[in-house]
Amino acid sequence: MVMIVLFVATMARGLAFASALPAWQGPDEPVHYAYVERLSTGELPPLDNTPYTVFSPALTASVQRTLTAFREHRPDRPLTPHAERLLLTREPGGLSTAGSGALGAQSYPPLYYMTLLPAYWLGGDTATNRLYAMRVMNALYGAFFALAIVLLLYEVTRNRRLSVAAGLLASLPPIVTQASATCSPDIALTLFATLSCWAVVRLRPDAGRADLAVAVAALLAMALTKPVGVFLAIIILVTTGWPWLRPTLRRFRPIYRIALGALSLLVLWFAGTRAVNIAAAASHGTLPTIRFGMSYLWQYYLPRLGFMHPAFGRSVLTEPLPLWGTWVRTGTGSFGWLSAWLPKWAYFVAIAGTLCCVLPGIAASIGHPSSEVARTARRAIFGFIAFVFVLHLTEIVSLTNGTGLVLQGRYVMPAIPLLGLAFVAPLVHFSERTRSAVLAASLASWGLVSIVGFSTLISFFAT
Amino acid sequence: MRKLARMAMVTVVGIALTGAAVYSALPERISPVQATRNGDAETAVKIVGDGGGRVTRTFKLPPAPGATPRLGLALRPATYLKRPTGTITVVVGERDRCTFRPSQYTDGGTITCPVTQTGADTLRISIRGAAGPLALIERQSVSGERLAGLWVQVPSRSVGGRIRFVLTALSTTRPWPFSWPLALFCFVFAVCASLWLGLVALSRSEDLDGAPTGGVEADGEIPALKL
Repeated sequence: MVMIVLFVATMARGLAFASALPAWQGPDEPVHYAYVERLSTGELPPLDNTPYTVFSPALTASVQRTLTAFREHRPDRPLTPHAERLLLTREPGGLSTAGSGALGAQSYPPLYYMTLLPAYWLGGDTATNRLYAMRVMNALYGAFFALAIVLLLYEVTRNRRLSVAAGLLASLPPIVTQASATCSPDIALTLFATLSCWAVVRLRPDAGRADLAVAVAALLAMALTKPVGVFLAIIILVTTGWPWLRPTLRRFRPIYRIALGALSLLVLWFAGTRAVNIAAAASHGTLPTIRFGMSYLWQYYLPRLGFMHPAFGRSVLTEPLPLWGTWVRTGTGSFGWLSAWLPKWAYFVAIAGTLCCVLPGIAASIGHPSSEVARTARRAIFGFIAFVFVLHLTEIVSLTNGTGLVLQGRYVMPAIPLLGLAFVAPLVHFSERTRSAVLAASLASWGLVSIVGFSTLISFFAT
Repeated sequence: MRKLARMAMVTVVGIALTGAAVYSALPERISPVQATRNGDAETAVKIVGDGGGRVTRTFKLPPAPGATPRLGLALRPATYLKRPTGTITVVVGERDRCTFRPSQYTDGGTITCPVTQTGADTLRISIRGAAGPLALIERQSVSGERLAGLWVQVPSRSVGGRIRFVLTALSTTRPWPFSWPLALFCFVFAVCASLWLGLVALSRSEDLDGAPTGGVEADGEIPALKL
């Protein structure tokens, strides 16, 4: 009963956001839609992009009708709903879906987009209707993600109350709900990452074929959803899968660790060269690139020192520090292409709600350092740091190549299961009273932020 | 009975929280907004010279849009980066008249005159006491005609009017199932269900399908999680 309610509640929240957010407002939504459209016309990856991406007449008409003509913030906008109804032309059905390419998404693996095909086919005869049908699928992904968090936490802690509270907590951040409400692979990647963590944590040295098959399937699903999924799959396997990967004889463990580390670096390097243009970055010289990278990392989290050159152009994402603009503001909720920001106090509530779990979680891990939960937590923290570092590396390469900032808070979403293992699972060591108080504070804070997120969404896009 | 009371409380709080979310999203005021289609090109027509003075000009109005409640006419005076000094009087048709003192408009800002006479076809603008230049920013109609004033809808400022505005906006451009009733119903349900789940997960009196309470340290066989 509890799991059904969690599933339906998360799905309902996703649908509410999907309904409130106008069409094509999700991050790069037309591009992801175009990928599904290409698949629906029988084209298989890699998608043809010659000479450049051409959106289909159906997609172009929908974007023009619902976004360009009515949602741009111009002096004479917004129109009143009555005026919109007067001016809104009917979107013709059955327009051609022929086009080519999918801009930045065309190098993405196809798994997520293939799962959207049934929604595309059943969605109707206009691009707008098909888009909303695909958004329903994403709401489903979000609902399964909440359940997967419950499974993961229960696997580690064997405590139902804590697991259900963790599932609810993971479903509340507005950025998660936004990802569940728009056509974008972020929430699918987050679901597969959670399932991967669960499947890998379950592995034992004597794991059966079925367990291994589930783990391999989950890791593959992650790698086939987004390019960054390859990195995360390796990180999850190496960190949370360490008890299964390590040899039983203690004397072999140091050599094994080194070999595993080297192998991981090799695979990361291979995946990295496929995902980002490292060759172009390397043309700037190794030492200058490393120097720039270190300066970049400093300026990301700390005020720039006098001798440092600015690593970023000034923008809403870099003021006062990228740490705030990227991880906090867009990590809590940004609501689409036009970015409707939450009121400033809501970010502090979100930070307080997070700290409510993080600090007691660390204390519990320190208090029970030899418990399996604390060990798993330490591995998960290491995995989270490694994942964030990989994200920074992609941005360093991107900046070195002259491209702008690429990081947004939503990119950290797939690491939510690692955060759950790192900070929520250790709460099991507290007494039930203390644990309930900690979780209640965190749930209340994020519940409030979720409601403020919905209010912000309505306010920004309806007025 | 206790469960019923809890359900009732959760439902009331959930509806109240969603109501508060919608209420806080209501705009304090809604600017008058355009009610007819036009092109993007803008032209400034100087009607008072650099030396200032007084002038009266009459313009032809395009027909008012039908079936639009609370019509108004929006104009954009421009004072070439100088502080407004002249008083602008707008007369639409025979009856509707508005006066804007210099403190009531800005350079390039919009002024709106409510119109009750929907058949009005003339717009008379008088300026007096201007110490500097004054122009009207004209927009081009779809057919290429220059428009000194644009027909707008003056939205209702009451709470009911603002709620209607927001709810209708939540339904426009969406496919019909994704209109405001779905958004609000789903969100109310999500809030109520989350409250209930939170209470169930954190309340020590709840059984949660016979869950062990001791966590990883609990002795004995640990049941698998029921899905």
